[in-house]
Amino acid sequence: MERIGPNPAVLSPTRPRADLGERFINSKAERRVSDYRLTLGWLMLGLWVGSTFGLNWDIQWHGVVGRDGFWTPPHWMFYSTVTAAGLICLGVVLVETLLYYRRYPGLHDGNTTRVLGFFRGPLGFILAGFGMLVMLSSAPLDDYWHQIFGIDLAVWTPFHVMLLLGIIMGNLGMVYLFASEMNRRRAWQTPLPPETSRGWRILAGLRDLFRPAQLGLTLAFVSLTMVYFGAFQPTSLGGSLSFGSWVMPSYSLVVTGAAAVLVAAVWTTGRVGTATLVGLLFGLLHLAVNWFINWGIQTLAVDQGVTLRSYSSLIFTDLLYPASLVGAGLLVDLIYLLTMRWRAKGRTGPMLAAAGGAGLAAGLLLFWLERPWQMLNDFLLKQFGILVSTKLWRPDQLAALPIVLPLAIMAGLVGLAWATSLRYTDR
Amino acid sequence: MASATKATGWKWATLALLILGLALTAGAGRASAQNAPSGDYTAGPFKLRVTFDRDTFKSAQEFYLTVERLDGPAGDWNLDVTSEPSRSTSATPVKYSGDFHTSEPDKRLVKLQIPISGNWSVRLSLQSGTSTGQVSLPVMRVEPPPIIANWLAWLIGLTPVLGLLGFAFGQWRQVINRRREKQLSEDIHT
Repeated sequence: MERIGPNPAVLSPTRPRADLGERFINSKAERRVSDYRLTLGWLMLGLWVGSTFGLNWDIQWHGVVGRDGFWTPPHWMFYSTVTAAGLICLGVVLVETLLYYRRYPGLHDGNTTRVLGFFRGPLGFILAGFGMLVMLSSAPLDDYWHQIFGIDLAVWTPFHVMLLLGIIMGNLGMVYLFASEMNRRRAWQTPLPPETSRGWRILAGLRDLFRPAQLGLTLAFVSLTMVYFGAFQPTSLGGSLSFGSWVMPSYSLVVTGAAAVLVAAVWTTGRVGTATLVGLLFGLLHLAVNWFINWGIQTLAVDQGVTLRSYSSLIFTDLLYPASLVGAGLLVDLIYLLTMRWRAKGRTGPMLAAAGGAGLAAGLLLFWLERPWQMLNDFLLKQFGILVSTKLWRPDQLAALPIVLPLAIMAGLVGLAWATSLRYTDR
Repeated sequence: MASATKATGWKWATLALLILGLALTAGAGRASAQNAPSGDYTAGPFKLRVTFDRDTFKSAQEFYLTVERLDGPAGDWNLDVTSEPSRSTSATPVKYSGDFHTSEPDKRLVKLQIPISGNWSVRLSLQSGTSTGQVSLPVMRVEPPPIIANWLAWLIGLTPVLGLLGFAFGQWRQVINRRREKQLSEDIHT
C-alpha cells in the first residue's frame, strides 16, 4: 500500500528532508537494503566507467587501426563491462523480487518498483538493466550492418543509434539509482540545528558533495556528459548554419545544451559546488580516457606491428575539451547560491527564472568559448574547410544569438524538470 | 465455422509474412557466381596448389583454404595468410595466425573468416629456409547477409525510444502524484 506523506522539498530547498514525513522509513532493514544497493551501484559505476573507456577506445580504434573482426580488444573491454553491469542489474531485481514476496521487512512498495507485472526492484537498476540489454542486443545488429556497409560507418546509423539509446538508458538508470539512495540517506540524516552558522552550513554542504551516494550521482552525471559530448562530437555531427558569409558548425549549438546537465546536477543535490564538480570530474575523466586510448593503441596495435590506417589520430589536442564546462559549472553554482533565499519562498516563478537564468549563463559561456577551443586542433579547417576566425567574439556568434538564447534557457528548464523528477525518486 | 475462419486467417498471415520476408530480402538471394580462386600458383621459388572448400563466400562465415606445395618441400616451411580488401571495399586487412600444419608435410590448412562483404583478395607469404615467396590470389566476391530494408532497420534501432518515452511519462506522472499528495497533506494540516 502506498504511504501518503509530504514530498521532498523541491520548491523549498532549505527545508530539512528528515522532517518530511514517513516516506523514508529509517529501519535497520531499510538501511541494509540501502547499503547493499549503494555498494552495487558503485560497482556498476566502476564497470560503467570501464565501458566508457572501452567505447572511446573503440571509436579511436576504428579510425586508427580499423576493424578486422568483431572481437577487437576495445570490443572485449566494452561488451564485457556492459555484460557484467547488466548481470548485476538482473541479479538485484531477482533477489529483491524474491525478498519482496518473502516479505523481507526492508523491501516494500515504497522502495521498489514493479516491472513486467511481477518483478520488483529499484527503478535505477531496472532502467540501467534495460539499457544494458539494449546495448548488448545492438551488438550483433551493428556487426550485421558493418558486414553489409563496411567499417567506415557514420555514428548515425540505425544500430549505432540503438546502442546510443541503450547507453543513455543505462546512464539514466545510474543517475536514478544514486539519486534514490541520496534522497533516502538525506532523509535519515539529522538536520543541522537552526542556530548553526552560515560557515558551518557551507562546510557541511561541501562535505555532502563527497558522501558516497552524492558522489556517485555526480559521477553518473559526468558519465552522461561524456555520452552527450561523445555522441555529438564534431566528427559525428555534420551540418552547419550559415549567417551571411559566416558558417557555423551545428556543433556549436549542441554544446549549449550541456547546460541542462549542470543545472540538473545542482538542483537535484541541492548542494552548491555540484555543477563545478561535474565540470572538473568531466575534464579529468576526459583526460584519463584519451590517455588510456593513446596507451591502448600504442601497446596493442603499434607495438604488435598492426597496420595502421592513419597515424595522425594518435595526436590528441582536445584532451580536456571542453574545459569551459568548469567555468559553466561555476556560473550555475553561483546562480544557485545567490538565488537561494529567493527560491526558498517556494514559488514557481522564481524557481523557473533561476533555473532558466543558470541555463542561459552556462549555455552562453559554453557557446562563446566553444569555437576558440576548437581552433586548437584546427579540425574544422582541415575537414570541412570552414574558416575559423581568431577573434573571441565574431559576427556569426552574434547572428546566432536568437537561436542560442532560447536554447540555453530551455536547457536550464529541462535541467530543472529533470531535477524535480530526481528529487522525488525514492524507490 | 469459427475454427475454419481462424485457420484461413493463419494461412493469410503466414502468406503475408512470407511476402514481407521476400520483399525485405529481395536482391540478397541472388545466386553468386562461382568465384573461388582455387588453382595452381607460383610464389617466388614455390609452386603451390590452392584449394578453397567452397565456391561462394559470405561475410563473417568461416571457410577453409588448403595450400599444397607441388615442388616437394625439403624441410619445414611457414605460411602467412592475409585477406586484403579491394579499394572499393570499406575494410581493413585481416591477418590469420596459428599453426596451419596438417598430417601431410606438404599441405597447410587455414581457417579464414572475412568480416565485411565486398571484393577481397588473399595474400599468401611462404618462407622455407632462406627462400621466401608471395602471391596474391585473384579478387573474390564476398556476399553480404540478406539486407533488410532501411526503414525496418531504423524501426528496430529506434525501438528503445519507446522505453525512454514510457519512462519519462512515468516520471512525469509520479511528480504530479507527489505534488497532489503534498497538497493533500498541507490541506489536512491546515
